Formats: sequence, structure tokens, C-alpha cells
Amino acid sequence: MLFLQLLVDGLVSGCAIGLVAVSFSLYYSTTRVFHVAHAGIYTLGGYLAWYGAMQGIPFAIACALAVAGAAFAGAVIQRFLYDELERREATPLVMLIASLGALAVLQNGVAMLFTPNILQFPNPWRTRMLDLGIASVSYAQVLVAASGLAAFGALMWMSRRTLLGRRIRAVASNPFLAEITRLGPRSVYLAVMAIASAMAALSGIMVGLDQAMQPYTGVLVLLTATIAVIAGGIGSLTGAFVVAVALSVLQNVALILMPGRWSIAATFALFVVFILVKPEGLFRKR
Amino acid sequence: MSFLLSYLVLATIYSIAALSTNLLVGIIGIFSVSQAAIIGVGAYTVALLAGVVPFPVAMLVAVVLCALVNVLLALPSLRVAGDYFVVTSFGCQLVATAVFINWDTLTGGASGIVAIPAPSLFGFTADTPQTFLVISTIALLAACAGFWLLMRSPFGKIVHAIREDETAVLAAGKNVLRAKVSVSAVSGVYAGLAGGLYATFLNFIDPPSFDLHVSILILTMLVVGGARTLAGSIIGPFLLLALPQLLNLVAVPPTMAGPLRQFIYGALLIAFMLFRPQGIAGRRL
Amino acid sequence: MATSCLEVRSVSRRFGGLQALDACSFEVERQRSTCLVGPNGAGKTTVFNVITGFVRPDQGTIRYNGEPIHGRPTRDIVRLGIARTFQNLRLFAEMTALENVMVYLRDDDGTGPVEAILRPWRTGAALRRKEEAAQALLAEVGLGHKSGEVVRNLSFGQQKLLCIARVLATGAELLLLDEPTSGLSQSALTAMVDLVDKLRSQGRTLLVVEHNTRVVQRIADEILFLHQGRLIARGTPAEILGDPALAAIYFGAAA
Repeated sequence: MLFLQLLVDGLVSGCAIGLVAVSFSLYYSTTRVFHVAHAGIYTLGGYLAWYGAMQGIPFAIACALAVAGAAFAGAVIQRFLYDELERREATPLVMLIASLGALAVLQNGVAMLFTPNILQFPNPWRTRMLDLGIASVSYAQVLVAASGLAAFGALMWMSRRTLLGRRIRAVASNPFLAEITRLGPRSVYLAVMAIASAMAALSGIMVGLDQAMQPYTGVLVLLTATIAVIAGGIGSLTGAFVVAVALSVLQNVALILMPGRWSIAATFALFVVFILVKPEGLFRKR
Repeated sequence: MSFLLSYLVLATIYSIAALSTNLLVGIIGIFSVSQAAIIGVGAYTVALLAGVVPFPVAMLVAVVLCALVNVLLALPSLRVAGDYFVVTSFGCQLVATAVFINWDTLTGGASGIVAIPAPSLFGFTADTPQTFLVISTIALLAACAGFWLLMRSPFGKIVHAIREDETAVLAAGKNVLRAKVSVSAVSGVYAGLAGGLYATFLNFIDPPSFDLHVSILILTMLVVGGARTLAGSIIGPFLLLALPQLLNLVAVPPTMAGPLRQFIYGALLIAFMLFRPQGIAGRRL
Repeated sequence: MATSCLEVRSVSRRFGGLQALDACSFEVERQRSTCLVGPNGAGKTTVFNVITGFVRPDQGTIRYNGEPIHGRPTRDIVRLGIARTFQNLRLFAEMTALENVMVYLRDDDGTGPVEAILRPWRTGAALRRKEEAAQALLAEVGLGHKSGEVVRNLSFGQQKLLCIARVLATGAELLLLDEPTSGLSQSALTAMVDLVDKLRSQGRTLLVVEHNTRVVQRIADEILFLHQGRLIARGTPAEILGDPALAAIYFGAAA
């Protein structure tokens, strides 16, 4: 019974981590910028929604506003940081350090605007339980899983079926060609950043709703997510999502064997072994 | 006055830490947000050994251990191409913090280790900031001399060349991997030195002294001072350690002081990368 | 065949769907200058990459002085006496001409980090010796007066001469030169051809990828004609350059 409960909990939080992984992967494979500030966007989303909820705004609306706010913040980073750096022909190392700076600004900005302490959403319904027979889940967990799967599905649909999706894939496969054929990689990057940021924010909100929030936990989530992106094979959105869910399930089920505080160490050790053995990832084509 | 002295001591210690980061980020050109973790390994080693074996022995063990750990952590990123090293570096830092907090039988957990004895050498004990400043200054001078000698030597020229074009160095018949591993070993030695000095100067260490924020602080020091040069690694720490004192002049609630400082570090990283990637006295990254 | 130092035997290499080398075989004879010609995409640069260990052959063997070298790391191959230049130069742009050559010197004295820190006087002496050796090599290619200049400030012709000084610094017996004259102005081209000619008369073994037929005529003792990853002809410049069928392949494919 405990095993099943842990399995279900792992699947649920896997959907949230999967969302961070997929959005990171989408942005990274399009722009080749290792956007560590993504963890800051994740944090920002959660806090914005919390702030809305504290003002008495209905949860769904607070959520939508927070997602929009995070997408805007992402677009600002893209336009005024990464685009600027690229214009100055910055090396990847410089981009990375700047991104780390943006992460510090976002996390600590949130800590200063709101509070550096642990926060919980005020909505009372979030802890109400639902009995599934084999395990029980809270309303918040249902929302986590539903929103995660829905957003992932929407992203896959957009990527395959829409014009924007096709433009993104064209730019990702050859930015130089896209530039000269006037596909406009700049505007595509901006759109990708906004979409990725919205998804990360959604994940941050849902995890905050389910558990609790603290400004600096985003980095741990991003670490698991980037491990999933690499293990899933860079460029494979499905791979990133599947591996993220698998990792989350593994971390939860492992609670039977070892205390949770060691799970990040175990995940990371697994990753180091993995990249030494199979650096190209599980799902990568070519 | 003791306040100024401890500022000076900490600045010398952080300069050694910045040199360690400089070797990785500036010299080999690999991103690192895990230098605080390595420094922590050195600090905990010395803290645990300081009462048991003579200070120089504890220091030696810390330095060797840090060199080994740094090489071990750098190896995957040196062998595997791509941006994996970012993940490796974040991972090392977060795992190290988890170990410092959770391996409480060894590290004292969240409350850390207290009453670490002051260093003593040849019957001379550095238990005041004045005497400690002598020790830390000597250590910094030695570290600077090492850095300078290394960079000026034929080995330094090869390392510099690797940063410019690794393939061309391979074509020269040089062992690129060995050179990079050597530099990360030296970087580890510096981190161990900084960690040991830190622990014995403050007589107290805990996990937050070596967490991600500290790694970011050291990286900021390097970037502000300027990467790839000796002067940059010294200017940065002396400037940035003065910042908290400046912030004391404006009234900030104590819970906000930490986030505000880190906010400023982040803003400095962004500003320098955008407008002056070579820092105050460095060269282009 | 007694004088051949490099033997390439049915070497193949595929990149995705492209068969860059297809059972390619040839020898390079000692103390001769061999030119590798052929249309674009014939596999000339891949030949260089395979010989110097940058690319592993899928099949086939490569022997140097009888010793198999295929699949060995570049470092070992350079030690055994084969060194190359790059079509895109790959100079260390922020370093001086002198430093560029110093990095390439075969002499490994002072290249250990521990030694550099603990015995600075020894590395200091090694440094001065290397500076002298590098200076001599720069003088040999006609760049003696530019030793302190940062590479970025050198003209393209000077940069290409510097590549020759670097490859000489390895002390290798067999030098692989990848398009030494491409992109050069007339006067720089003359200087380069004179230099290659001088190396040839000094009795060095050269394998040169070259497009300019006039240059080939001047510097080649023997020509290897590569097409679609195979050796389709070999002979003296007169034989190869006078063959209308080969000319058709060459110019037909180039057009």
C-alpha cells in the first residue's frame, strides 16, 4: 500500500518536474542557451499566484495572471539579456554567467518582495483528499497531474500542428538558414521563451499549491529537470518528460529504502554514471 | 580595528578562493558554481582534523583531498562534450550541501562545527586577527606566486592555447586532457587552502558557509575583478567583501540583508557580462 | 616501394550517408613531395584527418614506417613524426607568433605544472630555450621580425607562413599541409611556394592538398588524384595534369 501511494505521489510530482524539463528542453534545443534562470521563472510564477490568492482573487484567475507575468518576465530576459549578449557575440560561458545572474536576481527579488520564508497557499480546498482505492490524492495533486499532462499535450500539439511549431523546429535545426530566409529567429526565440516561461510558472504554481514554496527550491527542481533533459536525449521533448516522471517516481519509491534527504545525491550519482556510459541520451535520434 | 583586520583576513582567504575559480572558469574555460562545495570539503576536513593532528598536516590532507575531489568532479565535464558540465556543477554543489547538512555524525548537521582550534605553526599560535593576517597573507602570496609561475611556464602557454583552440593543441601532439586535469588539481589545492584557513579563522563552520550562494559570490568576485588575470582575482574579493559593510549604512531589516546582497551579486553578474565581460582588470571571457 | 614511409591500405570512412573515403589506398614516399588533388568533396581533408588520428577509419590500415597508426590518438601519431596544418589555420589568435610556435615545439621540458611551481628556475631556462628555438623557426619561414606580434594583427599571408613554422616545430618528418596557398595574394603566394619548395629541397617528406595547378606543377614530385573517396590515378605532374579525362573530372565536378 505504501509502495502504491509513493508511486502515485511520484507520478504526480513527476508531471510538474516534467513540465520544467520539457520547457527547458524546448528553449535549449531552439536557442542553445543553457537558461539556468528558468529556475527563477519557476519560483516567480508560484509567488505571483500566491500573492494573487492572498488578495482574494479566485485561484484560476490568480494562476492565469501569474503565468502571464512569468511569460512576460521571460520575454524581458530574452529581449534585454540574451539577445543583447548575442548581439555582442558573447561566448557560451558569458551567456551562462549572465543567466546565473538573472537567476540570483529573480530568486532574491522574490525573497525581498514577498518573504524568504516558507509559504503556503491560503486556499483551503487544496488539502482535501480524494480516495482512489489503491491510493489517495489531494485536490492539489489532481490539479498538478492534470495541468502537467494538459500543458505537455498542448505543447506537443503546437509543435507538430501549428505554424509557430514548424517555425520553431526550422529555427532549431538551422538558425543561420532561418536568419537568411527571414524566418526571423529573434521573434521565434522570444515566443519560445514566453511559452517555456509560462510552462515553468505553471509548474511552480502547482508544486507550491501541492506542497509549499521557498524562493531557493527552484534550483533543485531545475537540476532534476536538466538531468531528465540530458538523459532523455537533447531535442526530444517526450524523452525529457518521460525521464522526468521516471526520476520522480524513482525518488519517491526510493523513500522506502532511504531517507528523502539523500534522494538528490542518489539521482545525481545516477546521472554522472549515465553520462559517462551513454552521453547521447536515451531517446535521441541520430 | 579588529573589524578592519577581519575584513582583510577574509579578503585574503576569498582571494585564494577566487584564484581557484579563476583556474577553472577563466583559464580552462569551464563554468563552475561548485567552488564553495570544494572549499567546504577543505574546511570540514581541517575542522575535523585540527584537534587531532598538527595544523600543517590537517592542511595537507585537506589540500590533497580537495585536489582529488575537484579532479573527480571535473573529469566528466572534461571528457564529455556539451553543456553537461553545467548540470554536473550545479549537482555537485547541491549534493555537497545535502551531505554537509545530513551527514550529521561527521559534520554536525545544520548546527555545524564549533570551537575549531586556531592554527599553530612551530609553537606560534595565530589566535588573533593580527597574527592570522600574517598567515593568510603568506598563503595568498604563495598562491599568487604559484599562479604566476604556472601561467608564465611552457605549461601555462599550452593551457592558454587550449582555451583558444583545443584541436590545434591536439594537433601539436600535446596531452590536452592531462593539462586540464592538472589545472583542476591546482584549483582544488587552492580551494582546500582557502577552506582550511576559513575554518581555522572563524573557528566555526556550518553548511550555509559553503552553499550555492557562496559559489555565486565567488564567481561574482571573479567576474567583477576580471577573469584570467592575477590582479582580477584579488581586486574582486576586496571590493565585494566591502559591500555588506556599505549595506549596513542603509537600514535593511536583518532578514532582507542576505537576499539584498545576493540580488546585488546577481545584478553585478548581469551588468558585467553585458557591459564589461573582462571585469575591472581581466581579459575577455 | 622501398622508400615509402606512409602506407594507406583500403581505408574507408562514412559520415552518416556520405562515403567520404571508399577503400582508399596509396603510399607516400620518403623525402618526396606528394600532392593530393581532386575535386571538392573528394575526401582530401578526410585523408588528413584519418592519418593524424582526428577521425577513426571504419576499415583499413595505415602504417607509418611499418608501424600501424590507425585508431591511435593524435598525440602518439605526432610523436611518431606526422604533423599537419589546417585549412582554417586554427592559430591561437590572442597569442603572439612566437608563443604559437612555442606551444607546438616537440620539446616537453617545463610542460609539467608541478615543475613549473616548484622548480621555476628550470622552467625559466626551458622557456628561454624554447623562445630561441621558436625564434629560429620563425626566421626560417621569414617571420623573424614578427615574433612579438599578436596573431590577430598579422596579415593572412603571414598567418599561413606561421602555420608552417608551427608544424615544423613538432619536429615531424612527414608534414601534411592542407591548402597552403589558398586565399593568398600573388606576392604571398610566391613566398609560400618558395618556402614549400625550400622544405622539399631540404629533403622533408610532404603531403600537400593543393588546388592551384600551377603550384602543383612547381612543388609536386608525385600527384595522387582522389575522386569520390578513392584514389583513381597517380603519377608525375606531367602525366596527371596532362590527362584530359582527369581534367574533365576535376573541372567538371568543380563547376
